[in-house]
Amino acid sequence: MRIEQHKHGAVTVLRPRGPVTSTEDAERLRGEGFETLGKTLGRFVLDVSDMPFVDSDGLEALVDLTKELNQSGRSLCLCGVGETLREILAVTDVSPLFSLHEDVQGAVRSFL
Amino acid sequence: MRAYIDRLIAGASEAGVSRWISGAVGGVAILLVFSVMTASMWTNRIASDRTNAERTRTAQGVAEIVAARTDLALRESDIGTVRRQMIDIQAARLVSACHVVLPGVGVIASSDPQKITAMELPESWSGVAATPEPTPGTVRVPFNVPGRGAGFVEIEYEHARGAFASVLARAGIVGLGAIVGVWFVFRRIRGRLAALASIGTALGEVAQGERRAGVLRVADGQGPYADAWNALIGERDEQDRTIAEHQTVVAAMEAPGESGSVVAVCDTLTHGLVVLDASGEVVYVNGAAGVLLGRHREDLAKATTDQVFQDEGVRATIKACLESEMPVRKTIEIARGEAGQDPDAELRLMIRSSETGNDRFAGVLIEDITQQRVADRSRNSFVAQATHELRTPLTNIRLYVEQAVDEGENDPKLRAQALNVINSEARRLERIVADMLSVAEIEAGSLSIRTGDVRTDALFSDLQHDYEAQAAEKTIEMVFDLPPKMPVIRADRDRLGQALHNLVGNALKYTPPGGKVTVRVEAPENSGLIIHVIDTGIGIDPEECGRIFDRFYRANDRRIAHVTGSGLGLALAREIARLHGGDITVESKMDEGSTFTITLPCPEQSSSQRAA
Repeated sequence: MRIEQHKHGAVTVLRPRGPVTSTEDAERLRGEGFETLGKTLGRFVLDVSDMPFVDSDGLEALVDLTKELNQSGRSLCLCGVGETLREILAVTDVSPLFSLHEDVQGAVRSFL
Repeated sequence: MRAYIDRLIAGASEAGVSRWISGAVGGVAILLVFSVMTASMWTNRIASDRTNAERTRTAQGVAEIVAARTDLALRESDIGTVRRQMIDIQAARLVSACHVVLPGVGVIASSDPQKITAMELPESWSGVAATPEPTPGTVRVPFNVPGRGAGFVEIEYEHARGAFASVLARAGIVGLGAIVGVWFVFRRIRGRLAALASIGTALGEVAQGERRAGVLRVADGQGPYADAWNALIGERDEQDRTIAEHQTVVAAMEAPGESGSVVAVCDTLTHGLVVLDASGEVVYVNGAAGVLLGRHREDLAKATTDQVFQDEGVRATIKACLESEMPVRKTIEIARGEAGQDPDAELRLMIRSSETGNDRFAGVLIEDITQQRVADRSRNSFVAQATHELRTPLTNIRLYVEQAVDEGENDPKLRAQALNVINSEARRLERIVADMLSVAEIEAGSLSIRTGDVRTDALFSDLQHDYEAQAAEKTIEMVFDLPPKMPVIRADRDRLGQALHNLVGNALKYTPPGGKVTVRVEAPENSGLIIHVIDTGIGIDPEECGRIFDRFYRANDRRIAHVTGSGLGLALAREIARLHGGDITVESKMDEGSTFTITLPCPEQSSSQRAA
């Protein structure tokens, strides 16, 4: 899995390419997420349209990120959530922890 | 003594404290003396009584023996035995003196011979022994000699009396020593006593209900106890003040309704909130403020204004909030480009003064407006670019209309040329407006496609026709490399044409005169359509390639500063490609040219994906 990063205005978009199926992938996601979070004052979006699946480690990384953002009243913005990932979030009952958007534009607009 | 004590402490203590101390010390000294005296006398009295009782018992026993023997001896008129007995008693030192007295005759025998008053024993004497009442230190035992008369034996012994003077003397010495000791002790603890007395006075006032601020403080300069006490009271006052301020703030922030703790709600805000008290110290800060100010929330608690805010304007406004009698409301926007942080970050600080009772507070609401500012700049840029884009064809249309009106009547060829240009510019205007409307639809999420059968040969023929004149005008070679058999695909003809117009229009726009623009179409069987738009233009910086499809984005390249554009074309092209189930990519080299590639799925795939 690799993670692309680009900006939409002042909002940074992280786009993981590929499923999160190992501890290394989860750690990479967590590391880049926290680094971006610190640099952007929390103005960042995780575009998961190309991340069809996350294992438990990856899910834990996502929950850690949104909990960190909760400290400042925000929650992790996810966009392009696929069917499988949506089911994973629902089954594990963590969907309410995230701010879900259809696409990047919608997620970015939430920062206005 | 009290006067002396007063004089000792008068210089160091206030009058009330001096009187209290002198009274206390004098009282303690007198009490001590009387205590010692009373104890000594009591002890002495007990010992004397015990001794006297012992001696009385001894004297009584001796007297009874002497009386019995004297009785027997006098019956025989043996006065010598009686007198020898006196000598034996004197020798035994059991008692002080011993006398045998006959009433009316006198002392016939005594341990002290000089006290004998009757040397001869008469035949008879008074028959009744009138024994006088014994005095302390004497014991008298009567005897009766039948037929001759009665008498009594008087024993004198040492009675423990007259020690009162020595007791007093000892008590006086002890008392004096006690006073001297107390004086020395007093000299050593004088300062401490003064401090303790002052503390006691203060506590007494509190006990009587005094609640003035600082009532527990004592005068300075009374030694370490007073200093420590004042420091302790100072800390307590400081803690009380902090608690009171905190309670005030919390009380001010907690709504009396059913909404629960407002503070807890403030912690969930995405806007930062900092509350400062009258001394400029932070009394509340929420989590968002910590993030926006780039500090840990815990570090901000109790921090000062200067430690929290670096901007001079913000500091001055907060100071005004806390010092001014008038309400202060001010909004300040600051850039916050710290190392390691987003260099473009911009914050809006809304500073408000607040007053609760006699306490003043400053509240700072912090909002991250970076994205708003970026959006504003993009919008302004778009308006400027769009205005320019619209004005150019309108100007051309107006000029050619005037030319056709003025000169076209006499010159049909010129009129035809003018009408062609007008037609071309009108279509260009139409495309610009269509682009803008499409982008508005994208923003609203309502952009959609209406699919139908599209003959691609006709589509590209029209495209070629539309741009031939423009390419010729710029002396750009334009090539359409099409397969011999162009397919019919299911797509939205207008939208697809819109996307292709944008790509080809951009290629012509950014290719210098003498360059070449190639439109190459691949139509692999059952694999959809692949369209390449290749130019030999100025190329795109690799760092910009990721952003050129963003709406309103125009590459920051000085080479295209003179080229107008809305920054919408590529964004729209990509959106259209994606709506068809495909995508668009770019490959470019600086100063060599760019290749934009649209991939469209085959008709069946396209239909099924749209249905999904």
